[in-house]
Amino acid sequence: MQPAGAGGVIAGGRGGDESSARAQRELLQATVRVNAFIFGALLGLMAGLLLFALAAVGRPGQPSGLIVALLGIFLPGYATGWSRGLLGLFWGFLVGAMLGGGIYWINYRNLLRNIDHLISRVRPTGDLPAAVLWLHGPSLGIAIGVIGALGLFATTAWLVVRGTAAASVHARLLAEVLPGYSVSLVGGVVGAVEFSLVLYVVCVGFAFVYNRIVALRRDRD
Amino acid sequence: MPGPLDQRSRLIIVWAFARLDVLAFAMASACTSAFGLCALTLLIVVKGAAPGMPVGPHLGSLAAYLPGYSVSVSGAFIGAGYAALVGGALGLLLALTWNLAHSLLLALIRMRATLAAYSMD
Repeated sequence: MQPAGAGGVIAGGRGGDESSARAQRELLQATVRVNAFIFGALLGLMAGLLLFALAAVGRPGQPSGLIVALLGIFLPGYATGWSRGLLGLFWGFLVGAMLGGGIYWINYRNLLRNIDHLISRVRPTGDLPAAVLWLHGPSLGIAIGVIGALGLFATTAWLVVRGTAAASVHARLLAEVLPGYSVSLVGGVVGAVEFSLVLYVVCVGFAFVYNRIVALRRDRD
Repeated sequence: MPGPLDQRSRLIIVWAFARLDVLAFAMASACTSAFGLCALTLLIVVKGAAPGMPVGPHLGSLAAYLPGYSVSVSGAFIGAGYAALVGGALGLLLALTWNLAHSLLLALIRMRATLAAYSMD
């Protein structure tokens, strides 16, 4: 469902000449750079703290230790314990920031066209009206789907390149939920496509629920 | 000195600093997480395992963190409850920090603009 936009409260027209359109694109890119940086930093911080917490509470031989050991295959030096957890903090921040920035960057692609439909509950407050964001499910789904697919393929390819594909029993379990997936380059592509479709559906569902609640709260106000 | 913003450029700025609805984001995160874990558990239950083999031993190890959870139909709904709590909390945290970061950035921009307006140059 595409929510009814509140952009008309602010935007009177469609822009105008080519220079105006170019200025708007540049303005949008500048704001997207800032937001991509903020989103990347937040996701990086959360991922880093999560990895640190996992390493701190993880015990070798326990399920918590197994998760840390499996992540350590992709994050050099990461293992259970406080000191190794600090490396997890670093890796988590690095990877999370890259993923977050990438997701936001891909997500904005359709924004200039749809921007009228992406804000709700605009209230004039001082110099800048306060507004609430709508989420555009398909854009979010494509962004997270693409990043998730690249992530799955990259991790599978890493297992193949390092020559441990045959021994990767845990990765192979993904075939239980992603039919056709295997720890090989072809299996990685099949799994990546399926994973991106799953993520797309989840994101569209997430945006639908979010937008419905925002609309309900707006109507109530 | 840059001229005044046109309507659409102003809309872009408003969008850039728009807040996430914290309650809606947390509830959507809770719903998505609950549905995800429930569906994953039920999928593994329906697929089953070879005779004599445990069903979903890796997913079942979540019980170490989620007391009462198991790879079964009832466990799927217990897990959904836990996933809703964890997902909702993470969604709440993400939306709050997103809004906070934008508020701080906006305050910084306003402060710099105010200082520039009183410049003695």
